[in-house]
Amino acid sequence: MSLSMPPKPDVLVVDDVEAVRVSLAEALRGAGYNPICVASGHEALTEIANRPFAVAVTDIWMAGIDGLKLIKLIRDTNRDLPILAMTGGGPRLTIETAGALAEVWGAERVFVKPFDEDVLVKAIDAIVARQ
Amino acid sequence: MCLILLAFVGPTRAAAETTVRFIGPLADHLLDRSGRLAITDITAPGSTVAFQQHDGRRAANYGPSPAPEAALWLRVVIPTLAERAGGDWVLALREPRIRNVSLFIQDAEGWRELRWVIGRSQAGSGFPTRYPVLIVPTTEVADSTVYLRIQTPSSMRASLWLHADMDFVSASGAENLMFGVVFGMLAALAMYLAAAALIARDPTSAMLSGLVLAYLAYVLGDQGFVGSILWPGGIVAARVMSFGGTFLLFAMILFYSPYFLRVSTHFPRVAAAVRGVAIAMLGLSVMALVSVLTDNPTLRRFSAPIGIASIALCVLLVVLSWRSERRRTLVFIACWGPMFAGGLVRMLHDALPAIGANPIAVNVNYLATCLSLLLSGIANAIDLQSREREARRAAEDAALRLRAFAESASDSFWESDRNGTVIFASGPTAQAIGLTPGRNLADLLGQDQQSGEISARDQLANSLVNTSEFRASITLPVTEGGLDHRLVSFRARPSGAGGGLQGIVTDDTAEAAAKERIAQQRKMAAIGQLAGGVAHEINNLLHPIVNLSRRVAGGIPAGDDRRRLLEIVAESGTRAATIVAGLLTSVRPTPRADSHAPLGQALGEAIRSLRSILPDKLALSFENYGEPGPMVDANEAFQVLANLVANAVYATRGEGHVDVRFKGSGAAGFILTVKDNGEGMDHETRQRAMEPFFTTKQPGQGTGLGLPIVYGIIHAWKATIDIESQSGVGTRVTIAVPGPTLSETEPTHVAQHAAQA
Repeated sequence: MSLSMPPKPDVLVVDDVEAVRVSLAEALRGAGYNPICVASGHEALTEIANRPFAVAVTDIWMAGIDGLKLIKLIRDTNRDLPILAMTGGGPRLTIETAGALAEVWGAERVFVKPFDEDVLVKAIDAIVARQ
Repeated sequence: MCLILLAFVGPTRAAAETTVRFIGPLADHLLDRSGRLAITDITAPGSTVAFQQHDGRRAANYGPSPAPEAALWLRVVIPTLAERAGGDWVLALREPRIRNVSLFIQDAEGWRELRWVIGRSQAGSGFPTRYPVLIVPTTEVADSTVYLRIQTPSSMRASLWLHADMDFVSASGAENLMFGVVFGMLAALAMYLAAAALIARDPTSAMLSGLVLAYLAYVLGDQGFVGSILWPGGIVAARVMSFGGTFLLFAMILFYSPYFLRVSTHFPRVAAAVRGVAIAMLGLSVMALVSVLTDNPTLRRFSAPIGIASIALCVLLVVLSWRSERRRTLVFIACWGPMFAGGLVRMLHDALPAIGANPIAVNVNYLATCLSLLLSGIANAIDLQSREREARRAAEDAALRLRAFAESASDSFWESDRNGTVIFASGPTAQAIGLTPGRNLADLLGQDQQSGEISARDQLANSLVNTSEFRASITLPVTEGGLDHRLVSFRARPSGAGGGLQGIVTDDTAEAAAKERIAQQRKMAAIGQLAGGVAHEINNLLHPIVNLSRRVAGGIPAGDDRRRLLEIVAESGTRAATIVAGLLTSVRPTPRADSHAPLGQALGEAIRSLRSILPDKLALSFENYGEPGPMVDANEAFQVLANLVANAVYATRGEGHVDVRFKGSGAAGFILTVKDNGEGMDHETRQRAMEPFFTTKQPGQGTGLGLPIVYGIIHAWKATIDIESQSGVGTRVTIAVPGPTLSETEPTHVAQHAAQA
């Protein structure tokens, strides 16, 4: 790789299901991003503290710190990090409500699983281009 | 002892009477205080006793008597009497209180004494007379001077008459007849009043009855009927009745007057005081009895003041009641006026004794008092009747009011005889389920669709046989064989002697429906949570399945069989995701902002799309009238209608009628009904109809998600759903949607609900 090439933007992927992490990492890597995958909100907060990310993609319904809480915590410390949310539904909130709340807290867009990962990649492209 | 002896004296009638002479005015009188003077002492030449000369008007002696044995002497010069063939004359002294009289007639041998003693039969007659009557031979007494010695223990007012014997017989006959009539009337009145008092439990009637009886007793005793005509020789009884009756009469007047004038209502203290006096008066009447039996004169001394005080007390009561009970007081005065008038006439009679020739005039006070008692009896009867009428009217009013309550209540009242035939039913619920008089209750209960362990019909039979309580809660059609049903509960008790039942029937339909709705909502919330959790897990798995298989397939050249297989994996994952999305729709539909339309219009469009795909033999009718309805998502409206129509198509097996109707207004809300004439549902199916995954269809024919999806959507509309169904008749689904105003005023409610789901 030549040094003149721009560095691959780091994208944080937060999901407690490994298969989802693997699938998303594949898609992002294929699109020229550097996916950093973590399985929980705690790990995500550590990663965000350690290095800058271009975009964070997080699941909403997770054990421990759930996605909504995570988005809120990220927003408290880092106002500028763009966030995209994903959800497959959950026992307490409907998909629409969860999505609406994620947007209220600061997610730019909500994707309902299973979604076409190419659409997600395009959204990330748009965010990076804007930056 | 107060001895008042009064011989009535007045001017002799100018008209020459040949058969009756009032000779009182011709009498000189002398009071023998010791009672020891004999005729010889009086007539002896040079006797010092001096008769008081008559003044031509009256001869009287007032004042205290020194001893009970005091005697009044009268000296009368018998006027010239008309010669009557074979007839004697009768000397009558009209005063039943006189104990004994001696008439002294001078003949050749000296003074001859003719004696009359109270209670004893007279010579020539088998009966004692009421008052002193002495038969005097015309030849012996005419133009001669006779002496009369009169003894009485009490005061008296006597009038001295000389009758031709036949004249006396007819006069006393007329007098006794008059008293007979008076007694008869009084006795009848007393009996009527006593009966009225017993039947109506009316103290006023009882008082008046006592008053009449007391008066009857008093007159019978005082006028000497007891002791002579009624009970020859019963002198003590007569005196007891006369003297005791006086106090009893006052007591009864004092009991009765406050009752009639309603003094206790307005002046309770006065009423209590008067009652005390009346009770004391009863005590006095007992004392009077004792005083007669022991010959004690003390009480007699106070009888006159006590009588005057009693009458004054009555006048006081009338004055007191004048303001508060004007009408009653007037009636009281009108009733008792004759008695006072009679007393007044009697007093006039004392002043003008000549009136006394007529037995009616002599006894006018008795007649007047009898009239007063009769008037009081009539007034009492009218009063009693009006009170009874009032009470009856009050009872009727109460009955009407109760009936009105019964008619307006959702609880209906009913009664059945021992055979279970309805004999009374009232109220809208009873009417709605056909519980009407003449209907057999067992037949009515037999329409119940539920087949519990013990049917309502059996329970009824049990209750009728064992006369025990009857309780049943059942579903009955509003009209026989109809679709509308009511959940009603019967509660009844044995109605007593007849062996029937008496109770209420309550319409629990609305309550049961509300309970069912709440239970349904809870169930849906639980299912929503479950579905959301399951969807989350499955979607998380489907996501990599779809995306990774697509990604891998993308790297395989077209035409390669492995690519086709991987595409099938991705496609299957996508279809699975669609099913999950459908499941979630039953919990919360996904709105699409671009397809909003008024409900009526959306339904019309849905009907058009449905018609193209429905079987040919199925008749789908759509009626849409009224306002267009609230704005809804057209897709949701389609889903609702499509699911309901699909169920109807299934129920009719594709051959029948499905009627869709939409009507209403913004103010009243909208009603969407989908009715079919299909196979219908039994009770259990209807209960579970909205449970997700509950289906009556064969495996592969349906998912069981139709009605829950409908429920999820209409829940978001804040609408309610009602399903009525009967096996073999059909099903009617009614969705009630609130008007747009309602949904606009409470927008937060939907959001809250969504957050809870």
